[in-house]
Amino acid sequence: MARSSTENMITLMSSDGEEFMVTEKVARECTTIRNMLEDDCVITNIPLPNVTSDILSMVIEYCMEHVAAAEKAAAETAEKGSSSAPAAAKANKDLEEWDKAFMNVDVYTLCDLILAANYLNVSGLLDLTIQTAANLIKGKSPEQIRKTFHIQNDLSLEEEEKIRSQTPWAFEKSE
Amino acid sequence: MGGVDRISALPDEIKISILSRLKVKYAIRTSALARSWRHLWTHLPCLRLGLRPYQDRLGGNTASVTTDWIERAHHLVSSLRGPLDLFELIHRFTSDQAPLIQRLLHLLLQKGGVEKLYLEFLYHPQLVHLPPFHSLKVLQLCKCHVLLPNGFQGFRSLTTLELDHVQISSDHLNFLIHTSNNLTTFLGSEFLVSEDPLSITITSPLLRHLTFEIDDSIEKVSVSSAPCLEKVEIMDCILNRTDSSSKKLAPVALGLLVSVATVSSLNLESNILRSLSLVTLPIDFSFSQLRSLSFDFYIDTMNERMCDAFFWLLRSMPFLEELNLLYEYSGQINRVVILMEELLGKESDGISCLNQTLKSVTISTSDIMNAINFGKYILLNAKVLKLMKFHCLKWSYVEPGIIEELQKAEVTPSNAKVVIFCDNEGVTINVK
Repeated sequence: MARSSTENMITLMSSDGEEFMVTEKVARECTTIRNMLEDDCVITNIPLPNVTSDILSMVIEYCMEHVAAAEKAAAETAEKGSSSAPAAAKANKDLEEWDKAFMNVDVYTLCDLILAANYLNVSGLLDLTIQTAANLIKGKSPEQIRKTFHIQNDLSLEEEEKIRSQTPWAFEKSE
Repeated sequence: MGGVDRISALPDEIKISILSRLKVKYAIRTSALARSWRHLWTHLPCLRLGLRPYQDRLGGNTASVTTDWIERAHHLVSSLRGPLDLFELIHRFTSDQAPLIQRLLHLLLQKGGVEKLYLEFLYHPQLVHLPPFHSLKVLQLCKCHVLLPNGFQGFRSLTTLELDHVQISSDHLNFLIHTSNNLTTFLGSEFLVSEDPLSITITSPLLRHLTFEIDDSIEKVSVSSAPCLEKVEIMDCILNRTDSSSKKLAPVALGLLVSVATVSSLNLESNILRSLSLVTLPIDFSFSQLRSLSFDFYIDTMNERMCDAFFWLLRSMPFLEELNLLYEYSGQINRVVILMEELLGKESDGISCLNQTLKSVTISTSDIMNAINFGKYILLNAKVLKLMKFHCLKWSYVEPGIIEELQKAEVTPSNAKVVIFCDNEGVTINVK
């Protein structure tokens, strides 16, 4: 991505030692990093011991896409004096589509992204990943949910029966 | 793939926030997944129960819930550990369910209260003892007989209060308004009275939006202090009322108007004209802050005095910039058109908003021909007009003669734009 040379670059280091150079603006999408930068403005190298390189690269990809979309919208507003509603709606829709495609990941990656988004405090990504996880649970029976997320059932048959009998309506098939 | 369970390993607060995105039914299903999920749902910080009656209010849907549903709600609430950050109870109930609802409300009080409460009883108003919910923000009651708790201190967080077909004493209502210091929206319509009609005094430091339907249940409404009030809507809920009952309500309508003279936006329904036409209007009265007036001209019959009342309104709004008229008739169309024509021919001097401030007039109507005389009058007399807009649902309703008629109209302000807006597109008419 073309960037003006004056923009600060920050190096983020993953738990497995890989380095990622990003603009300060992209790094600031992570509230956790933003707070570090605000506490100490000369910091340029940030180790992130809780995030692996493949997950970190995805988080950065998400932040870059969202920064670029926000910049594009701001530029259009500045150019025309005001943003046209249909153009803004289309841009929003495009970004939503991008998010949707971005969430086409397996459940392991999804859980790792949730943890990373939570740790780095990227509110948009946390919201997106948690909603995606909720969508994977919605409408499914306990058996289907266990299968989706590889959850081991450690309840005895009697225990499970008891749980179901407390709120039978919640386990009914309708809807 | 053998599969590693990553989701169960997530911190509980993350799992709870996943569950809080689900319908409560699906959240509860996770209790049967595994031991670690067993009680997770009981930590849900919010619970929304019920339908959204407002969405189908006009559809005439009179569905209520089953007693089973209330029992379930009771079970859910007692299972939750609380405190609840948000609880919404939005539903309609039948009369025999009133005691169950009262029990549920008291249980909710123990769990930390309710943020949003909408209760509507079908057919017959029921007695409701409102618990002192500290976190209550939105309270919408319909067909209830409301009693405040003993030692009631006010709903400190309440921002929205909507009472429709509610029986409440003047004392309780005034106390409720007076103690709810954060109230921004208040709607009152069709109060039910058992003895004396209500006398309401509004003292609200943050109130911005006030809506009133005036009828016989109200003797007096006065806004004694509402420094933030921006928008007022005054409706008259009974169409076709006789002049004698209008006469009774006229002082209320006028009193309410006069007491909100500081607002910038006013929305009135046509029957206010009927009421106002029956009282002596104060001559040198002025809505000195009013910039926008919306008037719903839905009238069955109209007489000269109602036209006079309308011009009294215009004359008392010296800084009016925007006028929106909803212009429909169900009755004697010709008579209204002729009346308007006659009256509009006469007076324009002394109406200072026409001379100095009125910039935008929108007339929404199904038949522009009905409103054309009024439009022509505005074009001739509003000296700083920028935009005259006719809003019509479909182009097929616009007779060809209308455009010609408008093109011939005399227009005083040289840069006024005349637009007919239909089917979501506007066409500018070239005028002289």
